[in-house]
Amino acid sequence: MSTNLDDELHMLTETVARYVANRSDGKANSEDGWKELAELGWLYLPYPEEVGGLRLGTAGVSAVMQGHGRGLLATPYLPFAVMAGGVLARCPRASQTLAAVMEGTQRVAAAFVVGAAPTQVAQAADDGWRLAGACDHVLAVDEADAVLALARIGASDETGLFVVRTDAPGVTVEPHLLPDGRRAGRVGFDDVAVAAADRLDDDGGVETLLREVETEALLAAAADNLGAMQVLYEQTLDYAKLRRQFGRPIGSFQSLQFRLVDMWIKLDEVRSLVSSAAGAEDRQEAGALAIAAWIQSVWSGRLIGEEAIQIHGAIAMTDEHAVGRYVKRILVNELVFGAPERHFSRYRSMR
Amino acid sequence: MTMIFTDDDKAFSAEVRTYLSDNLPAELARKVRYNQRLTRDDYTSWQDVLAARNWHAVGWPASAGGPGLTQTQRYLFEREYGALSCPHPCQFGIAMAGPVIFTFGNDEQKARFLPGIRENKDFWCQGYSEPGAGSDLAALKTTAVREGDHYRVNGQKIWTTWANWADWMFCLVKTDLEVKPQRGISFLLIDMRSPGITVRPIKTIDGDEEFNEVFFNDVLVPVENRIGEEGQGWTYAKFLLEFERFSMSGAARSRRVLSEIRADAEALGKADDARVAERLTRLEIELLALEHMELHLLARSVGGENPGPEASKLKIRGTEIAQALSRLRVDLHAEDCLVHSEAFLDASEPSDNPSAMGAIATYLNQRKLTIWGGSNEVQRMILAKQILELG
Repeated sequence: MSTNLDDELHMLTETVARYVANRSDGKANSEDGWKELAELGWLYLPYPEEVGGLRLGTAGVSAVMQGHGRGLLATPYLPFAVMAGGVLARCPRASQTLAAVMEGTQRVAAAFVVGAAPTQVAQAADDGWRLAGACDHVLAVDEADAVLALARIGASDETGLFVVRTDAPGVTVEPHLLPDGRRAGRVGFDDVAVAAADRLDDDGGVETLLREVETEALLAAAADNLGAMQVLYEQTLDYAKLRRQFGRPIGSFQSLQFRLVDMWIKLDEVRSLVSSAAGAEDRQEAGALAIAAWIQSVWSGRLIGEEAIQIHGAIAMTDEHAVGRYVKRILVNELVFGAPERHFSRYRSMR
Repeated sequence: MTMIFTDDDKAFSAEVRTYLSDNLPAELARKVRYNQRLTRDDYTSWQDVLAARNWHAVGWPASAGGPGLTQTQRYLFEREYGALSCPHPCQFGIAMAGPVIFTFGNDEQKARFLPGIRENKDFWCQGYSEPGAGSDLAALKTTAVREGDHYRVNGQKIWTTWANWADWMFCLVKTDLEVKPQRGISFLLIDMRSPGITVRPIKTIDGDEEFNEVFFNDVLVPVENRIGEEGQGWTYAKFLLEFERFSMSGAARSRRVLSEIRADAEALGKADDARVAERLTRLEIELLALEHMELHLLARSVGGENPGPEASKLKIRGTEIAQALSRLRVDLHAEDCLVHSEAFLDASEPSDNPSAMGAIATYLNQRKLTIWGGSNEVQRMILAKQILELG
């Protein structure tokens, strides 16, 4: 990595930190929040220069995502920019949609689940396709202008990629809250007419494309977890130094010291893997590191979250206290992107 | 910061790999691979191979007659070394006595002791632990009373690895009983053939005899064998705790053991057993995290930072992972481990299932990893105090 890129990355990291520090105004989920990301240029980060993106790539995405975790931002950067955008950026036919996504004028949700086969079916019709089926837990789908959907083509094993506007006839969106306060929803397709031009893939190659996008999504999710557990660790360490019981700070008790040290190590393991995955030059190695980073972020996140609550004691059981919000963030991430064991075979195939 | 290896670094790695693999005797590699007991001669003949290339004292600076490797080369050497079934180096001379002597010793002491360590002429042991002083070295009781040109040493050391083979011991003794414990300790080099020394081996849970008790009964040690100032031994001992922490992750060795276990699983037809596959993958990812913690620490170090006690995290995780691997090997071979054969462990008799035959002894032997070299509890205390700044 050249020094120039290192400098740019450093600047980005500082901008992210400032942005996160300044926004406790609750507009993370609003139109304004997305506009701000667009104005900051972050919607260009995940894509290569050839398609109009910025060259900071996964390292840049990772910095933005750590900020999302740290600040518990609900802006759907991961599903919209990394996942849906990641698919668009790999489909030459989608260049106009991608341009609108990068500008922030069009918001596309990702109606597919990492590691799962599509549940929608597309049948060929005279003027294009008819789409049927539904996808659950699509992140921030109620904010989206369109969805990027996967569908099985007829009775074949083939998978096709489709962009469908959420206001198209036959599309239904049923939003629900996630346990951490973010939003998701079920998007249903009831015999929805899709123009031939809105199928993005040429025949074949979709599997490889999806694996690449999913790998980037898992690394981004690991970075989100990293940002969140960093805060949990820092807050717990500070609390252990301040909180006094039995006439001394609880952090002076060795049983808690050892547990805090283990939290610090678990945090460092994630940080090391996320950083290596984002910096790796070799594609294969970067992929394996990204999956490992995600898996380790879940293991570390569970331990750090549970220990943060235990060491804080009853105060962390309150709805008002921040610890619970971070714990829920990491838990929801895990359930959305898949528990470690679900990714073991993917890891083995990539190393 | 990501660690990037230059072409020169890669060439160095290849040079190490070629030399080690060309010169590692197959019989010795086999013993290491199957965790059979090594003899003193196994160690010293291998260390002669290293010394011939001046890679025995591989971590030493050129000023002490060592190869003067850069930190990156030092790391790469460990990586190549651990990837092969080389005997674990006897670290007491090269990684402990040597560095204290070239850092705190006088010119005469350097000239007298360093060549013997570097060239693998002298076998060293470490006289730290005592019955009442393990992790808490300040509680030492062995005394050294000054009598003219000599110290008269009385007391007992224990858990002294390879004292039965050693020519020399570097030893912490009490020279002042009046002052604060840390201030009354001195660092002596003791000739193991001195009159008054009795060495008694202690059989360990794996049946080996690495450990010893060492008794000192009016042993006379010349004052010229004291390193540095009287009463400063504590400082030198602490210096050693931080020396070469990098080589303590054992990640390369664990990487090799992991692939051996995977090969065993395949040979047993258990590679696709979901439980086996899950545990292997889990450990592999934990190991990958350790490797990358180490790489990032190395990158910071090469960048001019002194990570200091942070490297304790590598010792903690590296030893935990090595122990988990030794347990996984037992679980994999299960009841095949039940045949106990001293003749196999001593390599005097072959076996058609060597991987299983050595598994239990290894599992038991590896329990030492989290106890020695500053127990993992001591490492956590260091991190809590110095990195987390917990009072």
